[in-house]
Amino acid sequence: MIGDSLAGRAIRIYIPLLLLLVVTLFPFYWMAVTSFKSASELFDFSVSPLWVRDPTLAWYQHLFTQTNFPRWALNTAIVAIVSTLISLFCSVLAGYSLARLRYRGADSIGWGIFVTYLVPPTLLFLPLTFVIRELHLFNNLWALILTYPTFLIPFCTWMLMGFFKGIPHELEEAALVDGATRIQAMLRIAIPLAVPGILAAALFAFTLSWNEFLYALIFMNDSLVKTIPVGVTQELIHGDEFFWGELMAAALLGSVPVAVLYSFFVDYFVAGMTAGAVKG
Amino acid sequence: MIGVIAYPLGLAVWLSFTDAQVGESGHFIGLGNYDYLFHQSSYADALRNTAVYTTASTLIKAGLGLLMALALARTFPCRRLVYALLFLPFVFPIVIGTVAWYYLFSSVNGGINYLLVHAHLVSDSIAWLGVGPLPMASLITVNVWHGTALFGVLLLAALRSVPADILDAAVIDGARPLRRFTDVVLPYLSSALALGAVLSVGGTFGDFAIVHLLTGGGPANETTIVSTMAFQIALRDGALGVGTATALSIIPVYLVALVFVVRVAGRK
Repeated sequence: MIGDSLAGRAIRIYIPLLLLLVVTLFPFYWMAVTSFKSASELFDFSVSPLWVRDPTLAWYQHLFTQTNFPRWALNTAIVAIVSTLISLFCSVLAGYSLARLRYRGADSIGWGIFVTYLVPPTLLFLPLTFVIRELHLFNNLWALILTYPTFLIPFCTWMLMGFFKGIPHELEEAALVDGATRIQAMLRIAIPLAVPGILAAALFAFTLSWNEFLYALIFMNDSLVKTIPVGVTQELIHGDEFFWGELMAAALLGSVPVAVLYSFFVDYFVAGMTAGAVKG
Repeated sequence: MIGVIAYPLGLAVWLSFTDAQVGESGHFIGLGNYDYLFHQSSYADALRNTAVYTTASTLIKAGLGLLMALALARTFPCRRLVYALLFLPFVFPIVIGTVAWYYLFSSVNGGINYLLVHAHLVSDSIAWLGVGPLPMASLITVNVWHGTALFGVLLLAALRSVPADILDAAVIDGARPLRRFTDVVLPYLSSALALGAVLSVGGTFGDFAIVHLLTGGGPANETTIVSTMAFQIALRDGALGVGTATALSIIPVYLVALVFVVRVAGRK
């Protein structure tokens, strides 16, 4: 028996966690170190690439003055915020209705939504390309704002359905008995109680939109309408030539909004993941 | 809601039966695209790679996620910080994470090779994205890095649901730690494992970014998965019909995989 001695704790907790932490965090460390290196240091193979001797902000400066990075960040923010709001509005209504209203097939629709969410975007991107071309929306941010809800709505609805089911329905029934309408019961009682769930859904929807790559890659060809994931991987890489300094600086900056949201709302993220709605 | 998914899906089925090219609608040609596809050796490669990529990633993520959950279920200093850091890759933009890994894998001054060479574990840089089984292993590594936290969170929540008195009873009855784990704890984890596996299979089956950026399906189709193959046929070569057929052809496989996962993980 190992027991709860120091050695036992080390084997069970500290060693596995330390190994996991090192592997998890190493890429982040690598990004940070690389982004602060000068051009000469980046290609000086005689020194260790794991450390930086003369830190410089040159790549960050370069990113803001020589590339369209600020524009990409703006585009990404607009698309992520608008598509999150649209999806959230639809999903709150759909999730509430599926969790509460007793109509025929509500359960099977609920499962249908889960299965829909599991439909990989790789099945949908070609027909959506067709639709976007018919609508003449190539190189238009609306192309992304309209297509992101195809994965955001099923995802948010599934997550919110779980949260609404967790709220005792007696509360709303009491309000209905007291003369409130169904809409009032939803707006005044269920939604305020579901705020943690709505926040979790919003955070994930924003993160998924911010990180989305496939649709943005196909629909956005003009440099000025690209999002960060597409702009960074297409314009800071030319064939075999990688602009590592700029790439890593852009990588760090491009993940700041998500990292900040995450650090403030880590509990909501975890609650959303535990609700079992997020693909990995 | 239904229009959002059903319409594109219906359109996809239609497109897969036509000889549509990028920019023109095409004519109905029945099962011609599927027939063409099933006679391509690259299609068999893509199916095999998708299966390997999905299965290996999901199994490794489940194993590491269980390790993570078991460790995090204990109390220790800085637990919340460790918890937050371990789950960071899951919400981190995967495109950006993949680019960082690409540089880490690099043969020229890449971080991993530097460490290995200077620790005298290898004498020459390893071509992680070169030939043989290594490129696929690299893809799986990035996928696991990204997705292990999902299993970690789900399994941690499930571990918390194991009633303490049942565990105590098992201790009193003299059950050894391993026995306690397999017979008492594991049944409580089965639904979390099933859910994690379904979500992981869904996410990995549909993955595009990691493969597209890290290897582009190369070298010589050795890491092509169905999604990158559909992308290349439809948008590089312009054969929209064949590309759509490629994407749709995996639906039956995908459904079988999901049912299988739910059965297996649900039984444990």
